[in-house]
Amino acid sequence: MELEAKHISFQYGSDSRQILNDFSLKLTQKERVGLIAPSGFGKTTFCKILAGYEKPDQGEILLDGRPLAEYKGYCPVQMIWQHPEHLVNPRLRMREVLAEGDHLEGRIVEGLGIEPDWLNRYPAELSGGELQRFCIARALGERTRFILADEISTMLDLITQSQIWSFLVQETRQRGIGLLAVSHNLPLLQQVCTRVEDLEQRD
Amino acid sequence: MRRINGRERTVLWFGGALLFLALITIGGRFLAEKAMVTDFSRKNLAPCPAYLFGTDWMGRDMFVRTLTGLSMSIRIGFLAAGVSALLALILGTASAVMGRAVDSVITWIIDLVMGIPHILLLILISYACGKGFKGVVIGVSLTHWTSLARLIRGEVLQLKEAAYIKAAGKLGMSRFKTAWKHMVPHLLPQFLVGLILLFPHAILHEASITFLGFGLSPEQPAIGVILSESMQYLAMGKWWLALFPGLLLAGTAALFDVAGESLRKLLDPGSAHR
Repeated sequence: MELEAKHISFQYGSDSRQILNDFSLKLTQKERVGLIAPSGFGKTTFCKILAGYEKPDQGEILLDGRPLAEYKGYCPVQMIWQHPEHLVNPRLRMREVLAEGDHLEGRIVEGLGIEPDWLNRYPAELSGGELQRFCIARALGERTRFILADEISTMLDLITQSQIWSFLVQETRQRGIGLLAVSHNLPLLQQVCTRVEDLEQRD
Repeated sequence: MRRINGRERTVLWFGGALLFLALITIGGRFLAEKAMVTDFSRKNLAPCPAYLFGTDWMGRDMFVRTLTGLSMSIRIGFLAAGVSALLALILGTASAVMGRAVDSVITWIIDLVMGIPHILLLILISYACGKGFKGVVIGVSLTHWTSLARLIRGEVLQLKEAAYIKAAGKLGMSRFKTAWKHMVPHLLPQFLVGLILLFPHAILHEASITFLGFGLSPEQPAIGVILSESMQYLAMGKWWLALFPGLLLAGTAALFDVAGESLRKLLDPGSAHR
């Protein structure tokens, strides 16, 4: 499969700044692409558009040549967000959060270092890093073809960062999942990705 | 003896309040026959061990009459608050999910109902529906749903925009399942607490319009009827005719408030830790 963003333009409201201007990007299932840019250059916005959370003002998102919006039900493009605490319902136990994933294998849960004891807790009883592992696991369901990782490791210590990234790289490579990694951290992207794009210079 | 913690104390308050209210409701229902008995050999007795609340000018036992009246009030409150809360749930949700046009119509109705003084609207509706049990229930139901509807509308609007609900959509969760899994756990506590906190309003308003003569008919043993009749005898020094029924009415309303507030504390884990 191939995920393509074609000539995307976007701004929040008509009188605000043009955040994305005629931006295009192509991503295959074999690639791990890094996207780098300073704050406020629309990295998160681009991920939201690419995953179908926002509609671009101009341009389109194609998955194998078909508009992404035409894929009903489970979306093959899954986004992992920067702030996991907003992505889990505070009134559901973590067991239910994992159950939202699409046929998750035990291997994924173990690989991300999720302790069995955490499953019975509520989100407020876990740290940000622990919550993020659940969000990553949930996004790695059976029908996922592309992962958009938006600053997913900024709140983690270095050891945990390397643990999570090496799992994610191994998992996506093994299953043929395309990865778009967004970060401020160029050395990290160079380590993880097959190529790195700069959103600022393409603008 | 082990000291009980805050949460257990709240459970006790909630259980105690519910038990007491249930006793009044059921007790009053069984005493209904007795409340009608007149006996002129015991009229105008001041409170004494045999007649705790005294007797009136027809020799009716005021304790029994009060219980029966309260029981009636609680049953009216139950029906009216239930209908009202259901109305609030339906209209509040519809307002939040059915688009702009529906939303503006419903918020306009909410503002309209809230803008007119409660008691005035209540009297008008009750009168138009022919007073009595039916008039009171319809009147109270149609005037008390607004603030809960507003609360539910706000909650649903907020939930709709929540990131975890949008993510659930991307994970292929159906709209019905999303509503059940993600929205109901947030809405149910609001709804239950709102429902219980509607009770005291419903009961007090029932008593007030009956007192003013626009509610239940005079032959029914209602608190409002008892209070308005006792007005004529207050000046003659028969203070017990109004004092005890009035106190018990206020106490009942307060107990419902206690029950609602304790339930809120129990269902909202954050407040239980305080």
